[in-house]
Amino acid sequence: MDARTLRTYTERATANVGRVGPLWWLIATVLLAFVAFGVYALSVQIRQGHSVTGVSHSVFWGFYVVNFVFFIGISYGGAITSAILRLTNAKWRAPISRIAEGTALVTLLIGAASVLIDVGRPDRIPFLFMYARPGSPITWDWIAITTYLVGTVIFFLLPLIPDVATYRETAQPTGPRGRLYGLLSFGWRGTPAQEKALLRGIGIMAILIIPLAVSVHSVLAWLFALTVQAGWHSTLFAPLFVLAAMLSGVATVILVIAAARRAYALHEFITEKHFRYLTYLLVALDAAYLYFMFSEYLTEGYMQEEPMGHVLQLFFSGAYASWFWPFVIGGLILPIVLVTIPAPALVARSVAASILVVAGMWVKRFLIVILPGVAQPLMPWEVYKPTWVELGITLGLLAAIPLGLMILFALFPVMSVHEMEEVEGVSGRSILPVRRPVEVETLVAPGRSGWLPRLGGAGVALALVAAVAIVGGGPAKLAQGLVGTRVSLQTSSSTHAEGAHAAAPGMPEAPGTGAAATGGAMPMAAAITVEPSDDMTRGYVLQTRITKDTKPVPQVDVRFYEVVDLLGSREMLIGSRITDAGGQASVVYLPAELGHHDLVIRAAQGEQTVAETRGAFDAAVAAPLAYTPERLPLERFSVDLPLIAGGVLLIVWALFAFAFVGTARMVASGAREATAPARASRGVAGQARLEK
Amino acid sequence: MGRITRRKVLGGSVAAAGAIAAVFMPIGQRPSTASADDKTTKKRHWVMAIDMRRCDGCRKCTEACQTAHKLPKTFEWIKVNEVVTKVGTRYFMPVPCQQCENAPCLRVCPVGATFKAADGVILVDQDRCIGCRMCMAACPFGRRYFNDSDPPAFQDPFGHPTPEYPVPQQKGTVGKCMFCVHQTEQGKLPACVEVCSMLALYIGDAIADVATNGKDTVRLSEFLRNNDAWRYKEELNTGPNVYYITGHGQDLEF
Repeated sequence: MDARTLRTYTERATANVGRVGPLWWLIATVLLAFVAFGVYALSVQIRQGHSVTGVSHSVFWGFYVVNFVFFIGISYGGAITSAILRLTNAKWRAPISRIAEGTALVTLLIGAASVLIDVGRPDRIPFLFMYARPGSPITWDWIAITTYLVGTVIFFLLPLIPDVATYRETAQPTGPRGRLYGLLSFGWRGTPAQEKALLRGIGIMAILIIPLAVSVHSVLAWLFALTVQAGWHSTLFAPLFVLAAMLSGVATVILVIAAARRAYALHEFITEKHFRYLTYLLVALDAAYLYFMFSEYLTEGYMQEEPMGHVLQLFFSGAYASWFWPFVIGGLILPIVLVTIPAPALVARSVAASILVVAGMWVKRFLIVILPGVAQPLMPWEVYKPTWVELGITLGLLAAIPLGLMILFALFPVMSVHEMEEVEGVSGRSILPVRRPVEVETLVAPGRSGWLPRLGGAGVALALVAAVAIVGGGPAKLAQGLVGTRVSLQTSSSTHAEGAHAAAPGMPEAPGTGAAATGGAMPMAAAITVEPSDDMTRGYVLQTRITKDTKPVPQVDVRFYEVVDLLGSREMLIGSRITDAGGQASVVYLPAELGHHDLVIRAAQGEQTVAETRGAFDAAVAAPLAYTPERLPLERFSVDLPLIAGGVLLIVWALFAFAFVGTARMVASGAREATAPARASRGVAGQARLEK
Repeated sequence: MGRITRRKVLGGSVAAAGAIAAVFMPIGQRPSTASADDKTTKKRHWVMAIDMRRCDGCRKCTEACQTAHKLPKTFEWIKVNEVVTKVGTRYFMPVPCQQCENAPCLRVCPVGATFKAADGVILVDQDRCIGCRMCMAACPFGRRYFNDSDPPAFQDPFGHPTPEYPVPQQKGTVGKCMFCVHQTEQGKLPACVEVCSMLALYIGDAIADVATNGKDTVRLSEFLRNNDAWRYKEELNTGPNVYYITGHGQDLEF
């Protein structure tokens, strides 16, 4: 690229900045109308509740969660193309990296918004931070997405610094926009020290953003996979989601750069080569996705365990076949065919393939989210029918993406000028003259904490709050919740056994009570005795003798009850026996609890109760506790493992602070260092400035 | 460059984190859920035993539950499933919340709105619930219901729903069966147990080892053992506190 082309490049890259024509306004108005309709639909939902949507008891998540997974997914495309291409130092990336990073930023914001729409009580969103529970996948989710969002913003802002500075220098914008650029340029002048600091900052972010994106999409997958819902509970889900995100993301990047190429007339710089390389990536990811899916369905379909056999039937030939096959053929196979056939118009073909992939991946997410409605063995499966509210909000979110990108690229250069200079190895880097030194001074006045450290502090504070919430309160509270009741109850002991013998002699009083029954309406009398059994651990022998006029009565059905207090006084059946020739019947009873026990004995002949007597005894031995809290084999697994992840997260945030605050500070201090008369401007930007 | 500032940043952050934590942590604590109103201070662990040999599928329990909690007709906190097997066996299976020992719904709640009361019952604090429905995804029994609109109930201007008596339900939150702890606290049977004319539903206390269907009272452990009780989806290791006795129409053994 010669100096002349480079100058054209710079002009084209910045042509859009600050200039919005009637066409821009027209498109923006149309998109805004869609967004406004979405907002109206949302207001209806907030007023009337989710009953205006298609979600039901079985299909509890609908379009919003589909959109959430989808938008967060496509944001990965921007991150991966930009970060990976930077790390591999692919020179062709320069014209497209800004577009990719911008797409990542905008789609991520839309994705975060779409899940907030799904929440039943949006007014309680702060509860997520206030009462955060470390064991919940949703907690991991918001932490991961927040971290990823901050990372994406930094990854967008850092490469922007030189471009903003150059633009500010050449176009001299005033008003709020001028102040914004002044803020974002951090006093960039292009000194070697600044170059070095910036390169390092971007390098750290490029490395960080890849595992971050992987973590976000894994956590998204775990939102589903950590349940026991059939079709969700899969170890394959996390890598599958990461892959799906990359696939749909790269397709989205292709679409956005195609649109930007046309809208900003960048054909000279974003060439067929870019589309070809991105298409290679698309085909590879598509093929990998097909392989993953084949593995998934083969595993589930081979044995056809319920309910997965049933679910697969619905997908392959049942109610959802009209969704499934268009996705597989149109969304995965056809795109590969489209871009691999030897034919002209590669750009058009890759755009078509990307549209198919993006649409297909949306359908795939839909088929994932509605699974619980079809995978309930005991219940009739339900078809999820979205309503106009969900469609309206979805359209609004979709419209918000191009709108966001249009606004973003009305503010910032659509292609990275500095990066192009860098990959082109332009010797004369633009060293800009010192401007407004006073402002630079206030930016980092020594010995005074400016807004920069405060911003860094806020980031670290947020990370620490998350850590404190996780490490401090979390497990204690969770443990309190999970462990619940610890029951202690004495079982038999030698000291109590003696007490039992002492208590037993008290029992002969009981027959007295029984004797009282003789005087009642009952035709027979029942005497009750309680004695410890020979083997104390077996409990007590409850014995009765049924007599009629002092003569024992055999063949009487005797029932032994204990009077218990369970939601009122009740008689718990201990056992029933038939009296022997001596009129005697006995049961061995080991009570559940120690202490006082009231007994009732009823004798019956046929339907008629012939005798009833009451007694009591003190138990000194009791059965082992019937209830013991059940524990999972690895009880703290769901808490401890996230804690480790939380530790890693702290490191990530520290690196963020270092990459952004550190870079910005170094860039800003670099601006103060060389306050000498402006060096000869040799770079293109400098030339452009001189020409003005 | 930045030596002082960096220290300040860190110091300030720690102070800020501490301050925020100090403000929020006490709020995060759960109030004690031990029922102070319970006259007997006895410790309970509520369980249910469901005798499917007796259930005739009349669904009176579901209706009584809906009346007691002022729920819409589509909300079946206790749902009576009709099970037809391939050999032609037909039986009814009432499914309330299983009040799992290791409740997955509790584990996944991001704000701690779902919690386990001292008596073993899993409750939902609808003043806390954000309506994310993660618990519905986690529940293997499909026993949670999302209030997608205001319930058909008169809003008492003086009373506020509590986790123990979540009536009326709050729009945008999730609710479920909680073994009618508002009834048991007052020494009354749960609505479903009380109304079951087939005497198929038993409410019991695993600590005192006793259960009742309102008429018969049994030694819980013995009753379950003698009648070959089992638990629904035992293999998921959630530890349900609801026991089932299989069959239809057979004689019972106590």
